[in-house]
Amino acid sequence: MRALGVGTLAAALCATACASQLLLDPQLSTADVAAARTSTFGSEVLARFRENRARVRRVSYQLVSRGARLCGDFRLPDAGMLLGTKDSFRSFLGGSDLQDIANQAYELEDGITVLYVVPDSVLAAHDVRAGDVLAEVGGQKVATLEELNERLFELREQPVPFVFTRGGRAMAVEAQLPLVCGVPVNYSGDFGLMTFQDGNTVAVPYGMIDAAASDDELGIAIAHQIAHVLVGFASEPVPDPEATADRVGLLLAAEAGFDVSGAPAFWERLASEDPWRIPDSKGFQTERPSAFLEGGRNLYPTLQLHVGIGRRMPAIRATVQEIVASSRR
Amino acid sequence: MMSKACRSRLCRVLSSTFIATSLALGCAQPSAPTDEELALYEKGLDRWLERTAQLQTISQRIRVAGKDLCGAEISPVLGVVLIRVPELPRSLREAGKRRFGPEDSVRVIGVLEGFPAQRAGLRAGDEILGVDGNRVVSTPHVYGGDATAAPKLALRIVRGGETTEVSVENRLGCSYAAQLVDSEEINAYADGTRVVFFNGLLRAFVRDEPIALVMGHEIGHNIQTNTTGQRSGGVVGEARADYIGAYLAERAGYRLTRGDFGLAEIEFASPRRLVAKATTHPTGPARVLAFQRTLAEIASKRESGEALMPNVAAGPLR
Repeated sequence: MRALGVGTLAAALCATACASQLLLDPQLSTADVAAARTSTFGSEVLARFRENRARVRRVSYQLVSRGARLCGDFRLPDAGMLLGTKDSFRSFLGGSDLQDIANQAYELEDGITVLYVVPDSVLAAHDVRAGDVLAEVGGQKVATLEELNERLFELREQPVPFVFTRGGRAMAVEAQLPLVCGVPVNYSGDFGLMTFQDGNTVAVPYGMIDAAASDDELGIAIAHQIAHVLVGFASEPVPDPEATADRVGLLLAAEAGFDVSGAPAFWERLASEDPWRIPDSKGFQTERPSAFLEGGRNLYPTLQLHVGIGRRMPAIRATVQEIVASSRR
Repeated sequence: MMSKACRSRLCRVLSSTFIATSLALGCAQPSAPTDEELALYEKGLDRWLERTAQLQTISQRIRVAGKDLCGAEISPVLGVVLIRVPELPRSLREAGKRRFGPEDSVRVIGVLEGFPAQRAGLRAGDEILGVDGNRVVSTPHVYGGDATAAPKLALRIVRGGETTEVSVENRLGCSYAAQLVDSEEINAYADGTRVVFFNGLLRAFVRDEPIALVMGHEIGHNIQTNTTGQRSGGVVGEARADYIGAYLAERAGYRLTRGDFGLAEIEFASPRRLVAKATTHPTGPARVLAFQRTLAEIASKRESGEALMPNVAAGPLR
């Protein structure tokens, strides 16, 4: 208690001369930390976390909803929102437990909270907002995201009654959710550069949020991984998964309304950052910086030829030209 | 998760696409690099060399500016940017050989304005064979050698095929040289002897000022380690490294603003740093508040004409 008092007093009186004393005295810096938790800077940190997640959701929703035709039957209903609970942020694709930061960023209470609503979505049109709590779907209470997804799948392709609560009041909304490509896309928050996937889900690291100069570039990077997931579900083995993912990814991004004309320059820029991706490799995937380890690298075996970005660029350019030409007609 | 019927329908959607792709690619076998690949490697090499030059410029300016804080851990700082093909990232070595030749010698690719090498006429293309009588076999030998009291150093170089000797001023600075490693991670660390920067950090930060702040921070850790004799971790160690780092960067001529606290950017980006219970990089907000106060302290010293000396009355640096 005494240390806290001294800290607060020192902070209040602190002119520039105090700065070094403040920094070098462990007691005071602890008090500083306590005071700073409620500072506006603290909320900036959390706001940026929310923004990055919202950007990933918005861009990926555009891909999976407007590009749904390319996914054939592989579709799921999508509410066009980011939802969260006090358990839904635990370890993801080998990354960290983000639950603490999510609890702070979104002030999560019990139940399913709406964290973000994609602007063009069906529920946005019904004025559902961040902060609302999703209480019921199809007349049943839902407490976890798994329950919600099951319920939405059962009620697909028909109008669904939702009940949201806002400030204690209940709001009834009836809406039919679109069927979109059934590939979840999440912001993983780690420092890797390239988007990645595990066969079912796509992850977008901070490095890509930072490297993608526009939503078009982010869309191209995410679409490539969605394409990998789709290719992985093909019942026949695909002879060249990378080149196929390149082509399907570009077609998907273009179908969804993204401008893919900058794709070759984008991949070139990324390739110059990660030149190990340029050549073909066989036997072992060479020195891939691990997306899951901070500063770590791992080698993992691959049984088939991995075609490097170098040899894929002509086909990428050809696909882009084809898309640009057909959009002019 | 998906029904067989679903898969086959999906397969029809895909098969038309990958037939087109297979026709475009022919048989995918590893073969000689295409022109496209070679062009990409050249771009990758350009980018690596740019980053090397940026890192070494910042490093050597700060090392000289911080000399009085480094005690006995000093070495000559010549102001050269070097390359050695075997030290390039593996995927760029072939491109490096095409550009610089097959030998594994230490080559100059740039010189820093106003530093001893530039003043002595050293230039891009020179190969360095020896410094002060010591044979040079790798770039760290040149970036940080043994400190002597001699006012000048003799450099043995090869220029245009001929071996010659150049005399350079023996300008001393902190011995904590910088090394660039090929990793997309956004990170940097100090190990008591040098500082290591990951390529990803230079990619993410872009500008000199936030990189200079991290350089000062990491050198600040090395200063603490070698002065107190123990690993300078924890809340206090990090706070001191921030504090010393700001002073070092400002002394070297990098004018910092609040936005340069790139470490804070990384706090924004990686919520993992905020939740980490470990003491490595503690809560962001306090550090940024402290950084703002440090900038104000430095600004007031500039205004009053005082030397930019970090307040060390508490004793950790002596």
